[in-house]
Formats: sequence, structure tokens, C-alpha cells
Amino acid sequence: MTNMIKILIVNMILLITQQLSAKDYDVRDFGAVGDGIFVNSNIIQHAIDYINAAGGGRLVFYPGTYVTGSFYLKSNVTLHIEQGATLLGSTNPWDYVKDPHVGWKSMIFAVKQDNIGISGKGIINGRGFTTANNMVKYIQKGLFDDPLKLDRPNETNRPENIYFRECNNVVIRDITLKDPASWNQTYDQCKNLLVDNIFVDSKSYWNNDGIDVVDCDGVVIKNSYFDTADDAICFKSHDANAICQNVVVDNCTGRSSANGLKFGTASRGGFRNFKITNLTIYDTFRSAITFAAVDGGLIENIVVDGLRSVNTGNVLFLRIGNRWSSGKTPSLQNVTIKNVYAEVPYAKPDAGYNYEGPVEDNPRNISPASIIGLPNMRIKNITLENIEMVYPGRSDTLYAKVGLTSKELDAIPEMEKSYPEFSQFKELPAWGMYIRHADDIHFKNVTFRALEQDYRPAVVMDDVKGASFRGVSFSEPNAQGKNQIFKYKSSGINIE
Amino acid sequence: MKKFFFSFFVAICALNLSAQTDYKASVFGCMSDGITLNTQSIQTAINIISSRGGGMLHFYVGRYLTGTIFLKNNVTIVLHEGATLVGVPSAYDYAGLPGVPKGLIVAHGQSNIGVVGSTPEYQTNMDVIGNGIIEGQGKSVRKSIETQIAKGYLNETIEQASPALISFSECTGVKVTGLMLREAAGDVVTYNDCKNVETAGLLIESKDIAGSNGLVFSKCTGLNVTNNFFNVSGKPIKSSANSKEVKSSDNRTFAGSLSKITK
Repeated sequence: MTNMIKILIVNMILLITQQLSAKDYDVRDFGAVGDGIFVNSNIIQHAIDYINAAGGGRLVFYPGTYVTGSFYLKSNVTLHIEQGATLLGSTNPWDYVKDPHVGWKSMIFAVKQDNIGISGKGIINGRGFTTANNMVKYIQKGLFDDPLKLDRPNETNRPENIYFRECNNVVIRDITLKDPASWNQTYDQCKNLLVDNIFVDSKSYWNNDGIDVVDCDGVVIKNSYFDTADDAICFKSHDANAICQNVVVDNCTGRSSANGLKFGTASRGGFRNFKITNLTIYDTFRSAITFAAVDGGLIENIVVDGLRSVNTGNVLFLRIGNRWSSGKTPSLQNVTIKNVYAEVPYAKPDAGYNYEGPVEDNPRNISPASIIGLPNMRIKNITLENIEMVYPGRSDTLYAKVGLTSKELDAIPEMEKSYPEFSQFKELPAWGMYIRHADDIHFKNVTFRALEQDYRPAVVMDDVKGASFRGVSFSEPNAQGKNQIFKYKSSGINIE
Repeated sequence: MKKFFFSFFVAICALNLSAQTDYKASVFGCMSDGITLNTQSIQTAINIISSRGGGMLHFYVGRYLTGTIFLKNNVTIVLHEGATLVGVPSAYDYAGLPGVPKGLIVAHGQSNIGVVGSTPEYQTNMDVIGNGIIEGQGKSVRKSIETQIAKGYLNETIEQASPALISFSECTGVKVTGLMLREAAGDVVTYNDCKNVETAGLLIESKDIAGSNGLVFSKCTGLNVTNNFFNVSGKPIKSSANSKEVKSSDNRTFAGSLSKITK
């Protein structure tokens, strides 16, 4: 793990030095107009092609507002957007292409290019709300073929700000990325990706993720801020034969009307060797961190060290499902989560933000953190250390109740094929942590605090083989003598 | 000659039969404000209309800024009175196709295509010219091209980079009628290896750039050039010797009537 990180850091330093020696070209020299009106796609494309052919360099956008549709970044070219300059997405859906290899639309594409980047303190603003709604009109007129599922165009028919596929040595620094019509930025099967000091404001339309890293190898995301309608920092695995691996996320902050940091949902190949440090998640509707192994892929060797989750609906959700596994067996194991402080609110944490998360899976009281495998696909070897989770309590048995009888516990559905969300099981029988179909779960120095009384125990284990509780404490008003750990069909449970 | 007129008549009938569906440009998001770059909106319109079997794409009064658009099978662009297609003054917004010179409106290997003004009377009234306009902004386009070449960013000759207003190659059943064609950065109308082409009722005015020829054609079969007025810096009509079944009449310049071309 440490070696991997050292190699990553050396690679990233090499990346930065490469980019410092590049020659600068002013985009206005190629005829670009920064008037906020003229569509510069063809001019930008020609400039990139020219710089690429001339051996590389930076295409510099000086202050001004440069409207554009789709264009392709090429090897050895960095887009440098100066403070005061904006790359403004055209609101005309026809100005964007769907790349035939990638199958998505984007403003900035790069496919099979090396040593590329985007830098500068300027802004990339997709104006996705308008573009997406313009697309809706064209679909309704019958001019574009889309089923309008959920009354929105498919994600692949709305432009992202950035989509890089199969690129090596990619640097994204300092920029502000705003308002895409779909996901914001996707790096798909890239090697050596550095994302440093970016600011993401992405809540202008459905599926506005912050960053999607798909099947990449060698990734550092640091010092960045994500305020997003959909998942803030999202790792995916689209390809059953690929994997997302060797990733560092450090010193990032996320706000989301979905999940703060997420593995999945698409998880065909899997995720391994991740180190996530000093992560802050706030005002987030779903989970601070979701681990979803639901499509046959693996999740393993993950360390989360330093998580502050404030006003966030759920702390942790670890899940094995069996959605699109197509013969593979999903796995989720060897995860350490430590140094966590989390506050779960009673009220809706993302109230007031654009594209608030949908109120669903009711009736349920406040959901616990959960580790939920399947009877024959078990989550293994999870360590939770130095953690304090603060819950509101206040559950109402007249509204929703799942007690501790076998009948009630067995009635909790497996939901093997369902889309994974912390809330999917509706009411769960614990207020702090619910664990099912899991082996070797270790708690060290963990505090569960309920601010008001809850009818449920803090921890419920159902079909758990091997668990240890060392230095685990509970705090709940008027609950002296309450048994806060409940075991059901479980064995090898060691409580100290 | 009779045989030619008959085949021409058949071609015109075919044009009218298949081009009956009408589409307004605004349906596809085209903006008449003169500043919105409509290239991809117009192109999308053409693609959709062609894929649905063809029809007329109608532009009503306004200025429609655009770069190169590629005309496709069975699509006719109709420019109504006051409607102007305006060429964008940017070197990199023009394209050709392999073997086809750059143009504002380009077609290669397409059949039953047209760019027409809304006025049908040109066939009976000598004085009527088209209502719709294609404004090439040749001087500005040429300036952009020359600047980019001088900077070394554009690796083409001025001639290669300068778009015609209309550049059709290997097309069959072409109608360019009833329009005002203004100020091209290159030649105004060019046909290469096209069959059954009607070019009539055009006012062609292109003097800002030196050597802008009005109508340039080669290797064409069945070309009707009638009732056009030329005010150009180059030759009104420039043809290579290898075209067949060419009929020309009532074509004029300020200097007087052009002599008939008969081949």
C-alpha cells in the first residue's frame, strides 16, 4: 500500500514537470471569440490539432467567455483556463457529439491520448440545466430518439463536461467545473490521473455527479471540493474485465443529494487498493460512503482513515448484491474504516439544495449504518476503529417498527437484485449499525451515541460469523441496562 | 435537345413529388438572431429530414449564422423573403469533403437536393429574382483565413481554405433557384460531375474578393442556366470543356447579356 502510494507520487511529480515545459498558445490567436455567444468548437479543435501536431503545449484561455460544444483533446496538450476565463457549454444539444467509442456525450473528450490536462483557475460551465431541458423538447417533438425514462433524457444523451477514455498521464488542476447536463467528469480506463485543487459545483440536472473514476489505475484526487446533486466522488467499474485500483483520495470535501463517496453502483470488475484520508462529507442525503459490490466485481483492500460526516443521512453502507453479475461472484472484503466522526440528523440533510434527493423507502425511522451481504455472498473482514457516530434517536414505533423476533428479523428482505441504497430495506431493527450475512467484523473503540431514546438496540447482527467489540460504548437517554448489541443466528461474537 | 428537355421535366416532377414534407427551421432550434451559430442545428435538421425520406426545410425572415452544412438526399432548403443564411467569418468553421472544395453548403453524391428562394415566378418573369439570400461575408472569412495562414496555424492555400457558397459534387437532381447569392470568400456556385442541374433566377453579387467566379462547373450533364444576373469580380460563368447537355439563356451582367453556352 505505501509503496503503491510512493510510486503514485513520483508519477504525479513527473506529470507536473512535463507540463511546465510546454509552449503556450493563446486561443484567441486561432480566432476564438470570448463574447459568450460565438460557438468556438471548430476553432478550439483546430487549435488543439495544431498544438498536438507541433509537439504539444498549453492552449490558453485568457479572461473571456468562450462558448463551445464538443471537442477532442489530443496528446501533449493542456487546456489552461486562466482565472476570469470560462469555457461555457453551448445550450444547443446538437452542438454535442456522442463519441462512438465511448457512447456518451461530452463537451471535452479525449480518447486514447497521453499527457493531457486541464488547468488554471478558470471555469468550465456546462449550462446543463438548459441544455438538458432543450433536449427534452427535441425528444418530445420526435426529433431525437430517447425513451425519456423518469421523464429525463438518458444520461448518455446529455453532455458531460469532461469524458476521458483510455488516456495515460492526465492532470486536472485548479479548475472550477460547473453544471453539466449529465455526470460532470468521467475518467474511464485511464492510467495515472491526478486531480488536484478543483472546485465542483454540479447540481443543475439529474445525475450530476462530481467526479466519476471508472476502471482507472493510479489515481490521486486531493484538495478538492464537490457540491453535487448526485454522488460527489464516485468510483465505478463498467467493464467486467477491468478494475479500478491504486487510488488515493486525500483532503477532499463533498456535499451531495446522493452519496458522498461511492464505490459503484456499476461494479462489474471491481475496486482494490484504495486509501481515503481526511474526507469531509456534509449536508448529504444518502451515505457518507457507500460500498456497492452488486454487479459481480470485487471490493478489497480499502482503507478509510479520517472521515468527518456532518448532517449526512447515513454514515456507512456496505453492500453485496447480485444485480448484473452475469456468472461472477461479487465480493467485499478487507476494508478498514478508522478515525470517523459522524452526525446523522433527524431532518432531511439536503433540504434546500437544487435537485434534492427523493424521499423514498418509507415508512422508516432513521436508518443505521449497515453491512449487508447475501446468505451465500458474505461481506468479510471489516474493521471499524476510533469511530463516533451520533444519531438523533426519536424513532416512532407507530410509524415504523421492526422488532427483534425471528419473524420480524427474517421478514427483512434480501433484495438481491435491487439497486443498492442504505434505505432500501425500509425500517431496520438497529439505530446504529445493522450487520447481516457477514464474517469477521471488528469494532475497536467505537462510540454509538443517540441524542434521544430509540426503541431499537444500537447494533443488530443477523447471520454474522465472527465479530469482536473492543472498547465499544453506547449512549442513549433513559436506556440504562438496555442490551445495545443483539445477536441473531450469529456465532463467534466476542464482546469485551 | 428534346430528349434533354423531357428528362429535365421528369427530374423536376420527381423533385416535386418527393419533397412534400415541410419543416420550419425553428423546430430544430435554428435561431434567426444573426449571432447564434446554427451550424449543428441546421445539420441536424437536414439529417433528420433526409432520414425521413426528404422534404423542405423552411427559413423565414431573419439572419441565420452558419458554417458549413452538408446537404443530404431529398432535402431542399427554402429561403423565404428576408431569410438570410450568413456565413460565419471564421476559417475553421468551413469544410469540404475529399475531392469536394469547401463551401457553405456542400453536397457529395446526393440526389434530389435544392436551395431555393420562395418565389416561383422566375420561370415566367424575367425580372424576378430570389427573395432568400445567402450572404457569404467573403471579406471577413477571407481575412480570417489569411490571418491564420500568416500565423502558420492553417496549412492550406488561400484558395483551398476559401469556401464557395454552394459546392456540389457528384449530385443528381439539383435545384439552385430564386436566390440572391452575395459575397463569397471563393467562387459562388460550383458544380463538379453533377447531373440534371437547374440554376435559375439567381442574383449573384460577389465583388469584395478578387477573382470570385459566379458559376463554375465541370463534367456536368444536363445543366440549365437561365435568367441569372451576375455582378462578380471573376468570370460570371466559368466552365471546363467536359460538360454535356448545357442550356443557358437570359443570363446578364451590367455589361449586357451573356452569350449563350450550348454544348
